[in-house]
Amino acid sequence: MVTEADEVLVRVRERADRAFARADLTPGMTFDQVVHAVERALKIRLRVVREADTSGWGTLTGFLTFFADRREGSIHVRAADAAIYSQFAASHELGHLLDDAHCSGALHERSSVSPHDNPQLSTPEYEAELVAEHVAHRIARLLYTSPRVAESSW
Amino acid sequence: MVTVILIDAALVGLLLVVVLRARVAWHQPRARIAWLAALVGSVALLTQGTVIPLEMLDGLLGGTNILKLVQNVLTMVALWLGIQAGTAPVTARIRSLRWWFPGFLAAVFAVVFFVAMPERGTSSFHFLEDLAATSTGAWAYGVLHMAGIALVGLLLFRSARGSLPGTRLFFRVGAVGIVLGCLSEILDLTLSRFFVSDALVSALFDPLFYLGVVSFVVGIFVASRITTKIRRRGEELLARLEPVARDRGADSFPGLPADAAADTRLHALRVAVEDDAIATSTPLTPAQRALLDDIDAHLTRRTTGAPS
Repeated sequence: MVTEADEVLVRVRERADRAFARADLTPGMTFDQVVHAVERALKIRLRVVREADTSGWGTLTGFLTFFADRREGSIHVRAADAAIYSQFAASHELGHLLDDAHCSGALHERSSVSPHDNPQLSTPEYEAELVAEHVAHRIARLLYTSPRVAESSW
Repeated sequence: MVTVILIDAALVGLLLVVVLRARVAWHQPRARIAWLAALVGSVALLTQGTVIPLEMLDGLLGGTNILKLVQNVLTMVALWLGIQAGTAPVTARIRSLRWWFPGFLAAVFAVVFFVAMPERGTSSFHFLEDLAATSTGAWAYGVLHMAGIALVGLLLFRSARGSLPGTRLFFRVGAVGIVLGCLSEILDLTLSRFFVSDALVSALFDPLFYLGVVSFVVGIFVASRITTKIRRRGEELLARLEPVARDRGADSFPGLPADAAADTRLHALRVAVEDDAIATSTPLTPAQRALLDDIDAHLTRRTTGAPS
């Protein structure tokens, strides 16, 4: 029996697949190359800003500001976080940009609280956050967990 | 006698690779390239006649030394596959390799072999060296074949830059041995055909070439051991992270496939643990932070010059 949660997951996966396919992302890319690929795909300019003063961020781990009219945006992450973690937070925001339903100037935030545990999110917001998380995990797979040639050889 | 020992040592090493890596090759299509290189190399060494009498094998092909051509082509293909094993993308498969290169070399070898040496006599281990002393055609084939192998040896040397750091030296020494062996053979054939044969130069090929092959085989075993260590390291880190995540009630990403690779699960769980620490304002203990640092070092390892 298909539950509502299953239907949501199917929708989220389809959206994440579409979003991920928009950029020419390939295994073995560096994080900077991923950002450039997203810039090329969306014809925008992006900056990733590592914020030193995040004392008031609470559970926030990153956020996106995007100005559709200027075709530019900036992703803000916590400078104190480990690179892998802050890149994941930034990848979540790239996920929002690539998600065609949500790329229109809204402010997006990534919370360390899972979308599943955040009752303040509306249904469309909940799905958008899940899509961004899916895309971030897929980017992480490209960056860190793709098989290495040297380890696949002998 | 030394030559036979060197050939058999290289043969045993390659056969061990074929047997021990068969399971990996069965499960991982990318690993089949290296496995096929070892298999073709083993067959090439078997045609040397140290295990199965040369006359018997060559007799199956008519007893006119055509086995030498087969041996030369197999050697070249094995070395070329060794290059592909180290440089082809992770998504490469045996059939998707650029076979035109060894195909072209093999065709050139075959044409020159039959055109330059229409009369090759009966089966003999040293047929080419003996014939080259009096036949310019045999000399030309010997030089062409050795130049072809030396070219592949040079490419093999270059391909070693993408290998695991602990193995690079073995692969490079192996490639240097193969190239120097080929150059010594070209010199030997030229001296014996046009000048005066030199015993020292004549004796150089076997130790250089076959020690090169042995060094390459050692590199294969070292690479296999390092890869296993890296994989086990990932599994060990995951086993240490799972209880931390459980204690914190942090689940890995719900959309993660059940059959995701260990490193993928490791990354997802690592993010979930750090998320939980921030979300619940319960900082990681120094031991937990050290574990995440170890995981990050494992996930960001760059083991190769060729990223994909």
